[in-house]
Amino acid sequence: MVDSKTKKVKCWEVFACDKKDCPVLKSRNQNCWLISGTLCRDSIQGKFLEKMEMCLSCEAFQKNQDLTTLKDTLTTVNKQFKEFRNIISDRDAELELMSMELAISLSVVFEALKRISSGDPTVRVPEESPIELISRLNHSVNVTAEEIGEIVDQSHEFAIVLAEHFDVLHKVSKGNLDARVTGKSQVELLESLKKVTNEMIESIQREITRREQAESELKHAYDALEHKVNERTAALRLINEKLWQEVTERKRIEENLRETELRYQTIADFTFAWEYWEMPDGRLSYVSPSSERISGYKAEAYIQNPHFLSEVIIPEDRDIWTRHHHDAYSDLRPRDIMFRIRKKDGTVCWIEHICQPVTDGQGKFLGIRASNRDITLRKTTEEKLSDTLSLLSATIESTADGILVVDKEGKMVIFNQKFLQMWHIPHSVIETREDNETLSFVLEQLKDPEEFLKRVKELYDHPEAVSSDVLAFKDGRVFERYSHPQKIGDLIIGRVWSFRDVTKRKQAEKTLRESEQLLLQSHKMEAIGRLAAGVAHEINNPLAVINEKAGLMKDFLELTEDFQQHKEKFISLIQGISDSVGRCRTITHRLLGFSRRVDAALEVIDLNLIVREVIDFVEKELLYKNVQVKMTFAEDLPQIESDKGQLQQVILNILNNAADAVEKGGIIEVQTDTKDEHTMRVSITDNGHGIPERILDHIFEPFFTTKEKDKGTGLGLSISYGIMKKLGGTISVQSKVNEGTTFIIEIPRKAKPD
Amino acid sequence: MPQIKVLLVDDEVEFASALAERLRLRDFDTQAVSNAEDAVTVIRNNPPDIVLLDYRMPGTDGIGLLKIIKEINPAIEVIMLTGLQDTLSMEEGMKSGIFEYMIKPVDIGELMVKINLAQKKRQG
Repeated sequence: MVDSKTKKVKCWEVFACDKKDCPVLKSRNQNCWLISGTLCRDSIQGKFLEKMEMCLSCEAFQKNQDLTTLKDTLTTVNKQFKEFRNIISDRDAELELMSMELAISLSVVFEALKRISSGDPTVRVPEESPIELISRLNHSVNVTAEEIGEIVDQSHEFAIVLAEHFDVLHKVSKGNLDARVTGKSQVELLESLKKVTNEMIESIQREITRREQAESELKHAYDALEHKVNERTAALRLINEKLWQEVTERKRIEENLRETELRYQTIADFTFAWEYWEMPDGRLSYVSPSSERISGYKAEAYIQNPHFLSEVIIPEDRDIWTRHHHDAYSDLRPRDIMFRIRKKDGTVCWIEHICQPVTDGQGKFLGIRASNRDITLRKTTEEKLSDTLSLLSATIESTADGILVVDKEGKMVIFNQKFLQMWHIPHSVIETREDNETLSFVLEQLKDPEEFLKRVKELYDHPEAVSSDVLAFKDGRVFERYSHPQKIGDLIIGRVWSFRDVTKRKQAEKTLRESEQLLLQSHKMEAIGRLAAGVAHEINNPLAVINEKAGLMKDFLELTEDFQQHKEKFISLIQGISDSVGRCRTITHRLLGFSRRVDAALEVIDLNLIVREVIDFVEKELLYKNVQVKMTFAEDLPQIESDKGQLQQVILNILNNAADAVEKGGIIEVQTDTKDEHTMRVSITDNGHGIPERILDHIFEPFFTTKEKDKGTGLGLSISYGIMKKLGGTISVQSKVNEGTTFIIEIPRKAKPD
Repeated sequence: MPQIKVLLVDDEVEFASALAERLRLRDFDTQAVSNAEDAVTVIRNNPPDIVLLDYRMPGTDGIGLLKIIKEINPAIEVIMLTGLQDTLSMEEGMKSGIFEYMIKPVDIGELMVKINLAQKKRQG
């Protein structure tokens, strides 16, 4: 067998042959001269055996053929050749012997033999010879030549047949199993070789066919198996799905079952009624398990002993039970009672017992169906409720207010004694429970009963409303009235009225208001008093001028001869006196204008003008203190409607504070401007010592002062604050220690006095 | 007897000029100025015997000027003219070297008495 992977070698390549007329040369299909019947074979006519041997050692042949089997065959062939050669040698020896005998006359024979021996078996000699021996010899030569020719032909045939064998084997090796050695031969050896080869091929073919068949069967079997497996798998899947469905269904059913069980369990556990059935003979045919939950004793305890129930009832209530039990049998009517039992754990529990005698259609008494319920909680709640009610009632009675609760229709539900006292309602009236009578009694006492009645009616129309007002009595008392809906959850079920006698408080408030007014006025006076010193000085100055000028005129009259010469001087002096009087008048008028009453009096004022007036007041004083006042007034400030006196009081206060805050050489800046179309603004800034942050929040509090004892009362800023609030404005402050302070007053264009 | 030299310092010019003229009519050599700076100039160049000094003045006030006067010439006697409200300060001021204080408006006769008393004090 040739390894198919081995590349075929070409003879012409191996031997570098370029014989152009050789059919193998450069052929694609043929590789070797020996196999293909080439010129080479023709040229070895007669030397075939050597060539055969050569073949075995031929490089091309070796590379292209598997030689093992061929070698054996050839060995056999060669052996035969050798045998033939031996025979020939024998004949040659015979002939030599004969030639020795017939040396001279038999040159032809020699020649023929020579040619035969040189490989030409076609040589024939005439057999006729006078010499029998020669004839026989010649005959032998011819026979020999014939035999040799035959042998050569056979050898030729051998070569062709072998070539065919190689070809066939080659085809077989390529997979063509139908290839057979076909050539017929007379040579037995070749026939048997052919038989062997073909048989071998057939056996191979059979083997292959068998194997293919086996494979095909195997595949068949496999396919069948796969099919079966698929079928099986599908079936299994179906079964699986079914199984799963079943499992799910079963699970669901189980769950439902569990739920149902739980439900019934729950119902059983939480059915409070402890049910039982008493037969006409007094035995209990059924007791529900809840008897154990309620009483602590199992149902069996009651079934086994029909008197057990009366035994667990506490002695105090046993009579009630006995009577009830007796009555139940006497007239067969439904009944209910309450009694207490002592539970197994020793605690006492309230039971509500309801029973119903049962008869069949013909009125035959079948027994009593009874139901016991644990009502301990209800009893406890009732007790608590009763406690709460008593607490509520005590609370209502102990409050200082008069309280009245009415229902939705206005009927009086609850009231306290205080209510009756406050309204002087006699018991005779209240006992009638006539709401209208009470109302008319109430209305008689009021200064404005119509108004009150109107309010009450309004509240009935709006049950959800919360309201309060003040009621004035004819006898001078004053009540505050509050009214609030009474609700349960979101449901309004009535209304609570509460009255408080605030007569004393109202009086106190009035007194307080009056005191405040007084305080305001006195503070103003304080501020003015502070000014008085400066004012006195200011008046003193023109007075001193008047004094000296008048004195000088007197001097002229007394000390000079002819005062006529001083006439012009006199006129000038009198003018000076008039001017000084004018100065005094300005000062006194200003002071008077400022100290007017405190009552709010709104007037249309020019803000710049009134600020200027205040500055005029203190300017001189500040001048002597070496304090400079800078004024930046916005032009075209709209006129405002406010209280001039009070505004000036505020500005004066702040200017005084600023004057106290600055050192000699300090600066106070006063600025007016418009904050917005509704609000004017006055800012007063000093470069004084500033206000520490920790007290900045307190400076508007009354009696807060950092000044020495006789320098201030601590009311200035608090009063200023009050005034600005009253006028609908504000006062605020910004300050930094050692840098200074700015007070800002914001004034509405139109004051809103209260 | 030589004339007593009086310097009147007051920011109220109308007052000062009238009073100065009255004093001159009474034979005092009187000069009037309206502020501390002018006063100091006069005191240095033509020292007066007596200074009539207004307590309240813008700039250097009466007390401030008093100290300067006493520094320049302790022999000069100072009579302080004040408003009513400053009497308390004046009681204190007496300690700081003023000869007397008088409350405006002053009586001319009383003033002359004080001036003469002060002059007498000067002459020991």
